[in-house]
Amino acid sequence: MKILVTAKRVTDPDAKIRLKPDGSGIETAGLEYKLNPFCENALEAAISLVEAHGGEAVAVTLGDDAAVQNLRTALAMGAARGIQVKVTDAELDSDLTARILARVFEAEKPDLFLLGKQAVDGDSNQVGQLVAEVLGLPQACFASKIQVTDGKVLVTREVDGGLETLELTLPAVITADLRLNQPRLPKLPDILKAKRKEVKTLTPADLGVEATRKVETVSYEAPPQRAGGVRVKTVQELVEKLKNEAKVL
Amino acid sequence: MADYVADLRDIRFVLFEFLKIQELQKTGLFKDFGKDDYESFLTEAYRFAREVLAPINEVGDREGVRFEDGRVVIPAAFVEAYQRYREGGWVGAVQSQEVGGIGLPWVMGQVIHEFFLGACLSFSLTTGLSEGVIGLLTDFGTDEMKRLFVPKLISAEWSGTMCLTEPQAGSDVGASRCTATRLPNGRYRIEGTKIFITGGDHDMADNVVHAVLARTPDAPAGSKGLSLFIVPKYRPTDEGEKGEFNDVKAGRIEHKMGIKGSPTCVMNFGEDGGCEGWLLGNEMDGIKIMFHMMNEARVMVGCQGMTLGAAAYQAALAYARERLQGPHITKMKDPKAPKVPIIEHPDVRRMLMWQKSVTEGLRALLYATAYYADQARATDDPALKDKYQGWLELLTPICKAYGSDMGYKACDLAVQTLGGYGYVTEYPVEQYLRDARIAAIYEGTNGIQALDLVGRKLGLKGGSVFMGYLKEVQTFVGKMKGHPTLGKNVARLGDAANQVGQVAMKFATVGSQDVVFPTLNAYPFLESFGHVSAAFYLLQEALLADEQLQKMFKEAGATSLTDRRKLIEDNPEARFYHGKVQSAQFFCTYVLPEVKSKTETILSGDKSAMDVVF
Repeated sequence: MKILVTAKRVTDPDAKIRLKPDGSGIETAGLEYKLNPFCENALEAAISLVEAHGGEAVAVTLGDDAAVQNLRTALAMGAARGIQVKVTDAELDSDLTARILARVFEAEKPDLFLLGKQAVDGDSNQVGQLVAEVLGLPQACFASKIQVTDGKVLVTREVDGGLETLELTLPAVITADLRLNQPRLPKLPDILKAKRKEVKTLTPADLGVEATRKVETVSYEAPPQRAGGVRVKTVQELVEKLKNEAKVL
Repeated sequence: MADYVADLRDIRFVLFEFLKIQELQKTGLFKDFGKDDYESFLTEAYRFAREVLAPINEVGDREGVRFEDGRVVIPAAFVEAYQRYREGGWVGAVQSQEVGGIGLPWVMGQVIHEFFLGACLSFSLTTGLSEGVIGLLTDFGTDEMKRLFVPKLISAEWSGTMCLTEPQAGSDVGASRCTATRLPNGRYRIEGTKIFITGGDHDMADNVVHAVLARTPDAPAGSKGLSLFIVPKYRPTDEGEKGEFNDVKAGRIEHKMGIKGSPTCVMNFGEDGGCEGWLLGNEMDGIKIMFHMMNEARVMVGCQGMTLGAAAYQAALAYARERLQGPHITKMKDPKAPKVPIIEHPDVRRMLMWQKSVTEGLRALLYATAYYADQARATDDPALKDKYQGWLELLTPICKAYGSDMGYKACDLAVQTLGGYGYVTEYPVEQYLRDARIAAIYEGTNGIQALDLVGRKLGLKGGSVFMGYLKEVQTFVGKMKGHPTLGKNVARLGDAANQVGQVAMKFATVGSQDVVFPTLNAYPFLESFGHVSAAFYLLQEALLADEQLQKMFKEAGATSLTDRRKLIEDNPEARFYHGKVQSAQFFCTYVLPEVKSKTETILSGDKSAMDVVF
């Protein structure tokens, strides 16, 4: 079984994000980066499936050369090889990301495409769904359980108010939720081996993707500072304030 | 649950900008590793420390170790973490690839130690000792012993200990009574009791392999008559698997001030006459072999002080940024002035700055010392090899004693920074303080370290190692004392180095007639030398940082003080470099001048401590 799986480099979710003074983006100096936690779930699932059914897991990242460092983590976890599509984050939107990934899928022809359900930097939660649309493949998002049997895959997904189990034919696109598994930590000897694994670098042009975006980022601004609370005396006053000040009623 | 935070920016600065360990790649020994590789190991080690070790630190402290029906029971969370540690292959980080390790330079081993010991000292002591026993076996074991023991130790299926201390033989290790009698099969029957054995018995590993100092029947009294043996709890089968019980039992465990998650055991060897040991090297080489191991073990103990001090500082810093108390000092009289975080208060800043500058100085000292050892191993130039090996020997007692003492003091100031909250168990700093206290005691007390420095290390190669190091300091001072921002403190370093040299001369001249004089003053001398070496590294770092900072000012066109201040506040890189300069300035102004008063104390020749009748 061949599985394509994403390994996105994201800003450390524990880090305090600051914006550039001119609002053109986030301040990246001194920031720590990590592998996207949801991608780690996808990777763990991909590697476990390969361990159980044979085949290979191929990790893909869209990013600059620094992203290769995080791709190496995916290789140390157990992905067989890596693909870097060289673009900067600022050049991408979800649509372009999905179109690039779809071309990588077509070139690799895997049985399954696993992605993190979202990346913890932009939190868009769009790419998996869009990839399935571009490729015309069945999709199951927010997977909390994946079972593969005879060319079919059963995916349990978390929906409002419960769990839903879908049966998909392969090839298919699945996005991973946190509860899917506990990602493994790379072993020391595997970190050493990871550097000898192949990482292919491509550009969107190599893949024949036109690098156009549907979304333009105009500016970034921080959410307003939370103002201090007030103590209300009566329920009427509360309703009054919710209606006229907060405008939520 | 307390979070473990390490200063990755400073660690990377020491490794890649100050020491430039990536240059080791030019040597045959470390040709496999470039900066990217070090970066991978660093990232994954930090992650392991935070995700696996940090969560069990408090658990170990609260649950502690129990002794039930002759069995040592450690917290279940430790057993689980050990399983992940074993799977991760971390024991083999600095071991050579021939024996199944990764072969990383020791300086990277320091980084891993900083993370692991800092995230959970109780846990990482046991695994650190395994590394020590592997070192003994690979350097002094026969091929047969290597075959029987090393693979299981490298895979961490078995763990290791060092058994030196006995009730009557603590600092006086030569008073050991444990005996070893040669058997027809070439091994030795081991009988005796060892105490204070870290990781002596536990259920994390399948077998525990002890390195035991014992005396053969005709051996002379004192330390010269001791031999060193490998004594497993279970004998290995011919295939190197766990075999029959070797009559090694834990008698009881100690209940301690700190490192409560680490089993400290009384170990009884051969109570029923059935304990066998494998001799390392030759009979009566025991102490010589132990000393061979000592540098690594002692630097690791210094690292414990540094890393707990650094972790405590991070916790204190985070707290001081959040905790609101009182108005700003300039608005003291305005009752309506807003409350400010305590990090705004000068006295809190003084305490934080002490912690910052001292732990950064210790980090640079420890990493540099480990790097000297790497360079000594890696270089083909015999003169350089000699120089770096000499510095490693000279600085080992400094790393151990100065690292543990100053690290402990940093923990103490972290507690003070948190005030009442520092004293309660809700915050992690009181545990850091209690855990750090042991580092000044074991692996040769800090008093013993001072005697090692004065009695053995000052006289290495007729004193040329020590003088060579001081000369290197003075050459640096001569070159840099005119520096516009740091020159004044560079000159202070020159003065302090002179004073240290002066005391060493006095020891040499007076010591032959009056042995009390150097021994009574060995400790303040060690502290002085520690201050000088820490300042030496901090100033070198600060000069590099200042260069980077000036470059950033230039690039940003920041010429006015206001513009520069703004850049430092807004840009984390500028803030880091500026912070490095401030660390050196603070250390050289607040800490380094202590050398002067210590020198005055020593040279006074005062003997009140000897004259007094207690």
